[in-house]
Amino acid sequence: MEVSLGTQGSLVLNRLDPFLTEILRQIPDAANPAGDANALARLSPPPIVGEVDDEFLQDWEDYVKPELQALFSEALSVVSQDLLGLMNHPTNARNRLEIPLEHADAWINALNQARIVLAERHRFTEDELGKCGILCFESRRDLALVQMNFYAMIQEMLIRWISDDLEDLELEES
Amino acid sequence: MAVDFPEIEMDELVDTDSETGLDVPWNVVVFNDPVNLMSYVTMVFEKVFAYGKERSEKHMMEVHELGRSIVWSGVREKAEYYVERLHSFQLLAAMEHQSR
Repeated sequence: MEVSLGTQGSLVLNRLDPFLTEILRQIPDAANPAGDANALARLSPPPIVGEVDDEFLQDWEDYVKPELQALFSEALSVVSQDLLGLMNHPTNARNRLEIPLEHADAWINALNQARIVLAERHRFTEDELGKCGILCFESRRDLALVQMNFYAMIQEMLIRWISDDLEDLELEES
Repeated sequence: MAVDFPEIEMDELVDTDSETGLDVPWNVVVFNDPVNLMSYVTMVFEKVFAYGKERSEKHMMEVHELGRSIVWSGVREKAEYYVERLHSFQLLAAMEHQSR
């Protein structure tokens, strides 16, 4: 994979092999917490500690949680839309993905969401999450860790990109 | 004409009831989560509170090393707003009454 800056103010992932293409394609599914109570709870943590305030918690449940869920869905929808460009060429061995600057926040949010849901779904320990260099895998769980680490790498790059902190990556314009 | 002001006992003025006082601040606390990247947490603090990089990194390191950081204190309504904003970035955040 190569990363470059697009002429239209975008970040371009070039020469994506089929494996990384597939991992990127799975972002929306990976970020979906449906069916996993831990993941659902993690995405909606308690807003207050040390107090019992039933009325406030009910209001939070009724008004804030739906807003947050809509926000998460919106981010995933933006990412899914960008991924269509990637998925339109399934026979191309080396794919290209272009992320417009105005979509960077949605991508960062969606990748974070995906990593949180994967971590909850596979019950990764803190030690396991610290193993950044896993390149071989023998189970679905190992694969999920590879997936998480790849998403973290893209997320980190996007954060540096919007913070104007990409100098040391020596990116070229494509 | 000179006016004699009554003497004020300061102790009586500052001794307010912290349980019922309307102005007792609320803390917005962020808790550690090993999934969130350090750069991500820093970025969120910069975005949500408009803190500078140094202050944001200080809170991020507190979260990372101590397990929690009080990132803001003030009135309840604003604390609720900040917690909602932090949740929108999937951070583990909650508000707590400062008297606790």
